[in-house]
Amino acid sequence: MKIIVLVKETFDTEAKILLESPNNISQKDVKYIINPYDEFAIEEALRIVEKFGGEVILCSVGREDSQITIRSGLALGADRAKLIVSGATDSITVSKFLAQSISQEGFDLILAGWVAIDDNNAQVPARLSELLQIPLVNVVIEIEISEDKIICRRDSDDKIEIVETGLPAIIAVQRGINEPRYPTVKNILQAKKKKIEFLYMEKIKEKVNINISYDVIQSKRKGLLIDGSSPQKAVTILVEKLKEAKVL
Amino acid sequence: MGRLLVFVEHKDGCLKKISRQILGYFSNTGGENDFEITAIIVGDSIEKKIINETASWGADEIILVEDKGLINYNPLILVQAITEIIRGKNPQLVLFGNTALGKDLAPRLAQVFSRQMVSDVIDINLEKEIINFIRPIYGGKAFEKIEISSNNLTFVTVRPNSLESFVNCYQTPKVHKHHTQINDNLPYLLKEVIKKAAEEKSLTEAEIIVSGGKGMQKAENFKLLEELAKVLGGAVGASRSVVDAGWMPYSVQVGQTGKTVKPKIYIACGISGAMQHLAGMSTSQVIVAINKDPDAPIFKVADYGIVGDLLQIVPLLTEELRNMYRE
Ligand SMILES: Cc1cc2nc3c(=O)[nH]c(=O)nc-3n(C[C@H](O)[C@H](O)[C@H](O)COP(=O)(O)OP(=O)(O)OC[C@H]3O[C@@H](n4cnc5c(N)ncnc54)[C@H](O)[C@@H]3O)c2cc1C
Repeated sequence: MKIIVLVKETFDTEAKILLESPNNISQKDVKYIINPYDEFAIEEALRIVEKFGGEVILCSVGREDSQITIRSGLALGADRAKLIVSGATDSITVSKFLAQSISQEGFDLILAGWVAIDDNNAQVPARLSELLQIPLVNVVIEIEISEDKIICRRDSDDKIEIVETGLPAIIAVQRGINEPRYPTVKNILQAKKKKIEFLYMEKIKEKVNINISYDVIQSKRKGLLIDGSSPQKAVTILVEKLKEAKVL
Repeated sequence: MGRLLVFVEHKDGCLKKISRQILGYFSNTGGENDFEITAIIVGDSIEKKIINETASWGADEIILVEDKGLINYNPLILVQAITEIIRGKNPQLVLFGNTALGKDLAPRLAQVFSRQMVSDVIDINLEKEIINFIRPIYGGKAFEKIEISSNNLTFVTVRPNSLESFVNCYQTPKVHKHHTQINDNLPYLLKEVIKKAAEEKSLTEAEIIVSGGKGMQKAENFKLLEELAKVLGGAVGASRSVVDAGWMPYSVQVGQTGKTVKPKIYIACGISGAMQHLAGMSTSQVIVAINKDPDAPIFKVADYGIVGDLLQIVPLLTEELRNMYRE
C-alpha cells in the first residue's frame, strides 16, 4: 500500500508569538515541530504499512528549512519525503500544490492531521478530497482496513459515527487514534540517508481582495486573587464577584 | 441586496444554540446593511416546530431539504444539495457553526467553488462593502483579522458562544423545498451512529464548564466537579494530564489537542495553566482558577482566583451556589 502523509511544520506549542509588524508574525528564534496531529497520521501510516506492506511518503508545503523538521518525520520510520518549497500558506494554494504533486506520485491512501495548530484552518484535507475527487473521512479516531474497504470511527461532537469507504481515500485523523512512537537511534541515523525531493513552486498571486493582519493577546483579565486560607470566606467573595460580573 | 446563507443545525426538535446565535446576530445586524438571510434546514422529516423557531430568529427565507436519505449525515449528499442552493441564490457569505458538521462541510464547499473559507471566527463585522472577521490562531495566542470584500462568495464557520446575543425578531419567511437527487452508490457510507455518554456531551456548547487537572489527585474526586457542574447546569472538562492518567475520557479534554471551549464561566480546579491548556479555553468570558500554588500560571489568565486546597473549596462552592439558587 502506498500511503501519502500530509505533514506541516508548525511553531513549537510553547513558542511565544511576537509580531514583526501588524502583517507579520516573527519567526525569530522559533523552534519548529511537526504539527502534532500530523504525527498521529504518520504513526497510523507506519502501522498500516507494518501490517500490509508498502511505502510511507511524507508530503509537505513549507520553507526550504522545513527539511529539518521533515527529517524528524523520516526518523519515525517514513520512507521518503517530498517538500514543496513555496511562500504560500493559504489553504487554497497549498491544497493545489499538494494535489498536483500527489497525483503525479500516485497513491492508495492519504492520511493527514485534521487541523494544524498554527493557522487553525482545518481546510486542506477537505480541499484535497475535492481536487482529487476521492472521499474524505474527517476527524477519525480509529481506522480498520480490510481488503476492499476501510471502516473509520469518526468523532462528531456528541456522537461517534462509523463510516465505510474504499480506496483510494483521504483520512484526516484526530488525537486518540494512537500513541505516536519515539524515533529510535537506528531510525535517526537511517533518516539522514533517506531521500527528500524538493519541488519549487511560485507563490500564486491571490485574485481575491483579502487583507490579513494580526494581534497578540494581552490579558485583559481582572486577575483578582482571593486568599483561600479561610475557604468559606473565599467562596462567598467569589460568588459575590461572579454575581457582580453578571455571569451567574 | 446581499444574501447570507445560514446552515441551521437542529436536534430533538430544537435549533442548536449556535444556529440561534448566527441567525440572531445577522438578523439584527444584516438588515441595516441590506443583507437578507436564507436558512437551510436539512432532515429526513423536518418538524414544523423547527421551521417556526428558525423564522423566530429572523430568517427572511427558509429552504427545506427533506428526504428519507438524509436521516444520517452524509457529507457527499449535503455538499451536492448546498452547492445547488448556492448556485441558485448567489450568496456572499455561507455560514456554519464551527461544529463537527460545519468543520466537515464548509471546507469541502469552499473548494467546490474555489473560494476562501474563514474558519472558527469569533467576531464578524458586516458592512456594505467589506466584511471583517476575527479568529484565534496559534492556540489562542494571537488573533488573525481578515478583511474581505463583501462581493465575493466566502465560507465561514463560527465558534459557538462567540457572537453577541440578540433577541428574536420574528419574520414571516417564504418557505421553499429543495429537492436533491440522492445517488445510492456513494463512496462514503454511514454505517452506525453511537451516542456518547451524557456527561461527555456538548462540552463546546456548555455555558459553564468546571474543569479538573492533576491537582484533583484521583479519578474519584471528579465527583466533586460533577456536583458543582450540576448545580450550575454546566459540563465537566479536564486537562490532558487527567486524560493521560485515565481519570476522564479524551472527549472532555480541553486544550490545544483537545476541545476548544468558550463558556460564560470556566472554572479551572487544580490546573496549572500550561500554554497547551490555555489554547483551549483562553477566550472564555470569565475564568476562575482554584489552585494551591499562588504562582501557578493559570492565575495570570484568571479573572478570579482562589489560592487554596480545592478539596476544601469545591464542596463549599457547590454548597454556597446550591443555597443561592434555592433562595
Ligand atoms: C504537543 C502537546 C499538546 C498538549 N495538549 C494539551 C491539551 O490539549 N490540553 C492540556 O490540558 N494539556 C495539553 N498538553 C500538556 C500540558 O503541557 C500540561 O502538561 C498539562 O496541561 C498539565 O495538566 P495539569 O494542569 O492538570 O497538571 P499539572 O501541571 O501537574 O498541574 C497540577 C496543578 O494542580 C495544583 N494542585 C495540586 N494539588 C492541589 C490541591 N489540593 N488543590 C488545588 N490545587 C492543587 C498544582 O499546584 C498544579 O498547579 C500538551 C502538551 C504538548 C507537548
